[in-house]
Parts: sequence; structure tokens; C-alpha cells
Amino acid sequence: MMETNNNRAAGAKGTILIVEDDEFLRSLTAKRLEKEGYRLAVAVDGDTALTVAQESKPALILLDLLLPGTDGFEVLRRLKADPELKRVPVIAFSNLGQREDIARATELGAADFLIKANFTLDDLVVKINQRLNQ
Amino acid sequence: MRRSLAAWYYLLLVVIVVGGFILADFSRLAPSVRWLLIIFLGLALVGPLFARRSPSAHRPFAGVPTPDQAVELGLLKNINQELAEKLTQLKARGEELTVANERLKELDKQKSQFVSMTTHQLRTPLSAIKWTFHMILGGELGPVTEDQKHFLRKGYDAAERVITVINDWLNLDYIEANRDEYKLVPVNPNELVDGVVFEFSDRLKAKQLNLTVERPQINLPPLRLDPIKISMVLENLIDNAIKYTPSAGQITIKINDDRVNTAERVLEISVSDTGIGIPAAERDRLFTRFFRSTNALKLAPRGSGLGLFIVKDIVERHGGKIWFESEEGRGSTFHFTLPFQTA
Repeated sequence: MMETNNNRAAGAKGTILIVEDDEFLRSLTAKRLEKEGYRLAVAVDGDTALTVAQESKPALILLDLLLPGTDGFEVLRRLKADPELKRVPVIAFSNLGQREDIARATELGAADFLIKANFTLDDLVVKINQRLNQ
Repeated sequence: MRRSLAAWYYLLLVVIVVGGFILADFSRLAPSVRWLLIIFLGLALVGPLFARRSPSAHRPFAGVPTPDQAVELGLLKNINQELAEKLTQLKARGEELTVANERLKELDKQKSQFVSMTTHQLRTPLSAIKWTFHMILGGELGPVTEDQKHFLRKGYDAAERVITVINDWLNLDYIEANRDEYKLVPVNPNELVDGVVFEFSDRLKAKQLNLTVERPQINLPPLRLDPIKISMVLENLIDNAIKYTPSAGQITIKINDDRVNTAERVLEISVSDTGIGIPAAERDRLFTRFFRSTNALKLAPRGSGLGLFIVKDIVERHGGKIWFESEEGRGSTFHFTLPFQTA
């Protein structure tokens, strides 16, 4: 399953790839980021995330970790092994959040780890803007 | 007892022989008989010296117990048999307990997996509820009346409350599952404190709270501690200080090395705030599981009352102590010590 839409918003700042299997959370996140002026690319499972990433050349990847098929940790490992994608900042955005999960994602190269339930979408936008303006 | 009896027999024998010599006219005896008597007397006198050093087997009745000893021996045999039976029973009980312990460990592991999965499953719909309320409240889905906002905020707070409880459950489960797994590694206490404080930058800014860290003049050597767990201690204490301190308040973290070179050899870290304080009547229950003080409940209805329970457990497992001072309406200071075991 793959769903891409690089031109959802005009005057976009850059493309953000959302990798999220929950449809409702995905649509809320997309709505908020579109409002912020970002272009969006979307993948709904781990297996398609890499293909979409290679096609959409995102400025940042928002990655859920518990995904059908290949899990988010493996997606992260492959992203960081890809010469073209390894510099793209990845924010792990998950409801996993035990310390081992955070440590594992950080070791694999995640730029940040946000537990969805502990943040609002406004907080997420702040984090993304901070990361992209660095 | 038997040895002294034998000595008496010997003495009697010597007396008889010597007495015989005196009574008989020694000079009248044939020379061969005289020599025989001298040898006999010599042996009688020297014999006991060897007899005392010889093993018990040389004593003809040593292996045969007296009636008293027979009774004692019987008793000892009975006791020995009883001990052997008890030992067998203990071994069997030990095996039963090992099996039961393994089973408990397995159940505990399953419980942890269950908590982890359930909480994850709960967090996802809760995120959806929280985000939706937040978007509607922010007017992103169209205008909202003040009345509607009032109810939406209630809904948002309710979702937040459940999320907080879930987070505390997860923390408690993490602590209990890793109870025996303290990974002590060399950690620079200054860096650990700075790392935790950094996580709170956004919240401090949002509440206009000033946080300062006071540290020793000298560079502290790395300490042996579990960085994940001590971070949890600091996170909990700073989180409470933020929650219970009104806007524009002051939070001070102090790394105190005054007692590092004393007999105690401890590093003390304290977190002070200018918050609501803890009512005097409730102070002795503060570290108990699920306890929340009355004024804390009013100010921050969220929370499960597990935070300080977890904090105390971690500090004590590091061999440290935790205590606090508080004045209602003026603020609280929580202190904890860590043994100064340098790397």
C-alpha cells in the first residue's frame, strides 16, 4: 500500500514523509502539517516507507515504530544505510516509549523521539520547525 | 574415665612387684630369675609411657561402648536419621520453590508484556482524542463558542489524566520489571542533571519558571550509578516542582559535594521550588504508593501518586536516602543522596 501526494499544499516549505498506519492519526497529522505549509508524502506501512522516501525526497521523516510488516526500527536502520536518505532527519513519533525503545531509536540515528500521547500536534509542529531550521 | 582406671591397675601391679622384691630375699634368687624380674619391673615402669601414646586399638575394650554410651549412640543414630529425612524434605521443598519462582518470573514477564501492549493500545486512541479536542479548541475546525470550549477543555483534561496514569503505570512496571537490573556505569553527575533539565526547557518557558542549577566549584569525578533510573528520579522531582509551582516561580537544583569527603561519602542532590508545599498532616504518607496530597489534587488533578514511590525505590536501591522539607504555601525541597562510588 502506498499513498503519495506531493502537492497537497501550495507554497510548500518542503516535504514531510508521514509513516503512520493509523488512518485517523495520519489524517489529523496531515491536516495540521498542511496548514503549516508543508508538502506531504505518506506511507502506511514499513515496507512502502523506503520506496516513498526514495521517491519523495523528504526534508524530514515522521516515523511511527509499530507498523504492519517491517517495523519502524528496521525502516530507520535502512534509511540510515541509504546514502541518499541518511542525512534526512527522522523523528520517531510513536506510542511506544519505554526507555529501551527511545535508546534503540536514538542509536539507530533518530533525531528525536516523541511519544504521541504526550504531545499535541502544535508541539509536533514546533519540533519539526526547530529541526528544519537548524 | 577409663584411662584413669587403667592407670590405677598399673600402679597396683607395680606395687605388687616391688613389694614382692622387698619381701623375697632378692640376692638368693638364681641370676636368670633375677634378670627376668628386673626386665619385668622395667617393662612395668616404662610400659605406661608407650601405652599413653598408642592408639585406642591397643586398649582391648575401647570399641565396646558402656551402657550409657549405647543409649547415647542410639539417640545419635535417631537424630542422624531424622536429619537425613529433613534434608530430603528440604531438598524437595527447594525444588518446589525453584519451580514456583520460575513460574512467578514467567507470570511477571507476561504481566509486563500485557501492561506494555495494553498501554500502547490505549495511548493510540487517547492521542486521537487529545489531538481532536486540541484542534477543535484551537478553532481549526471552525468557530467554537465559549460554552463549547468549556466542555471541550474538560474532555481534553480527562484524556490528559488517563495519559498521565498510563505513563505512571508504565514507569512503575519498568521499575518493577528491572528491579534487579541496576546497570551501574560511570556517569558525570553534572551532565546527567543538565540532560534532564534540557528536556524540561519547553515546559519551564511555557510556565515562565526560572530554573537554576547550583554545582560544586571543583569538577566531580564520574559516579557509578544507573543513569536511566537516576534520570527518572530527577525527572519526577522536576516534573513535580513544575506542576506545583505557580507561574514566575523559582526552581533550584543543587549538586552538593559537602559530604563527599566525610565518613558518609555521599553526593547530595536537591530540587527546591517556590510551590504550594505539602500539608504537614500528610507528610509521612508522601512516599507511599498512590498517595496524593489534598492541595496537589486541587492544583493538578492528573497523576497517579506513583511518582515519589518510584523515586524512593530507585534512590534506596542505589544505597541512597531521600527526604524533604516543606512549608505550605512557600515551597518544598527534596533531597537525595547517592553513595560516592567513583568509577
